[in-house]
Amino acid sequence: MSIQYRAVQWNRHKRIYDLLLVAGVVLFIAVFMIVGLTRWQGTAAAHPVTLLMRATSSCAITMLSIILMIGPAARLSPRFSPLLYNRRHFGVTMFLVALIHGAVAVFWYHGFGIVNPIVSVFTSNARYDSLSGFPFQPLGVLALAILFVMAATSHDFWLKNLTPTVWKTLHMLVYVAYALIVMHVTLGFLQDDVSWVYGALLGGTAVVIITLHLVTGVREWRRDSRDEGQAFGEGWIDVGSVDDIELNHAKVVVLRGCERIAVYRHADGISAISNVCAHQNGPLGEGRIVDGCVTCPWHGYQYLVHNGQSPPPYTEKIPTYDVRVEGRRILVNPEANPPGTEVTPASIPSETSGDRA
Amino acid sequence: MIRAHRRRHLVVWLVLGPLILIGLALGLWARLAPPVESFTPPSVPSAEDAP
Ligand code: HEM
Ligand code: FES
Repeated sequence: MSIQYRAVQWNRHKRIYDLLLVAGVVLFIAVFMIVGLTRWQGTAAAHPVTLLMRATSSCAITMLSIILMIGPAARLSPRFSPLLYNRRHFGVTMFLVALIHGAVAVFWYHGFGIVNPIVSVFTSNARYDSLSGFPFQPLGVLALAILFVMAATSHDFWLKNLTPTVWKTLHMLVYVAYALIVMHVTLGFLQDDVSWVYGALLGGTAVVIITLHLVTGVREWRRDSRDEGQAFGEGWIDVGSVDDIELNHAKVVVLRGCERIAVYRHADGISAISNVCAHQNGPLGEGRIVDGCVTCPWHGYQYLVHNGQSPPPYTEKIPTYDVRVEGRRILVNPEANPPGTEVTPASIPSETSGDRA
Repeated sequence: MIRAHRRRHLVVWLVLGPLILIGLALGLWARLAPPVESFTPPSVPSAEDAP
């Protein structure tokens, strides 16, 4: 959470994540280079610069594929949520690795002529009407340009100034970048006399990524078109029993036409807040109460459960909902209160009085 | 995530998913298919043809 901007708000968790990330990248490229240099010798030998280009490109596309799987995987199982925590560093690192590949390619293939290397990438091959001879390199340049914009705007400064909605929409361009990269490889590398294993790997990964996104997308869309509450008199909705909710955890309630609501059970009773985190719209109802605060499962932003405000000195605020408990049923007023509105938690009657009710 | 964003995600993948698969299939087909203009060397008069 931020009251002022710092390049990176480090903590132990992020350091370990980044250390593993960098170690993984270095290991990947080193193993690729060593295997490449020792396996292909004589006439099959590849120049070390070509090998570096291939090592970095393979590393980058592997990282991008993982990045694209993390989101839907975390929706399918919370086991993958820890990977979301520092996904931005993953993304920026991937961009830097892809940049090495792109820069080496530009200078290695286009740097020795009289034409400006960047112009040469776009003009040296104009066979836009051919599939097998298609100028695949401009596709890589476009993808790299998108990845650059995303890496450059990855900081919370841009997130806040563009608003999370615009920022998230902008960052959906990563899907377009992925499509461009798939075509960059299909129309470039795969058209050479290379093993079918590469085609199978690329195609197989693409099928997995697309299926994951479609399965989770359809699931969420079907859930959004349901109504999980039952009207209970004027202005109140019965959203379930207090006994359905574990202490310090929440139930996410979907009411038709409204944003999702996180109904928390905590030491003082029941409180209802928006399910949408002020940071990147993470699902607050899938988090839990840590140190007295609702803690977002994505990047750990915290909110006081009774007023939706981040504890001082932080300033984030989310909407709250009026809530009552009748017997052991939880009733929520689906009209959201303005962000940060104090709502007294509804107290839970003891089990015995609940049984009588 | 907000409702509108979830819907946008689904629409984007409903469009991009098939596009990516069609692109991949076309690319692999181009690799498989024999080249359209097969190369025939021009007949060069040889020494034997000479009168
Ligand atoms: C300035 C932008 C880029 C240029 C000029 C470029 C150029 C190239 C070239 C010339 C090749 C063929 C190399 C060979 O025959 O071995 C290639 C292959 C490849 N590129 Fe790119 N590329 C760019 C961006 C990207 C980006 C952003 C990615 C994303 C990961 C990427 C991923 C790949 C992959 C996976 C291959 C196949 C393996 C290989 O041969 O390296 N490229 N690229
Ligand atoms: S979305 Fe980032 S902390 Fe909630």
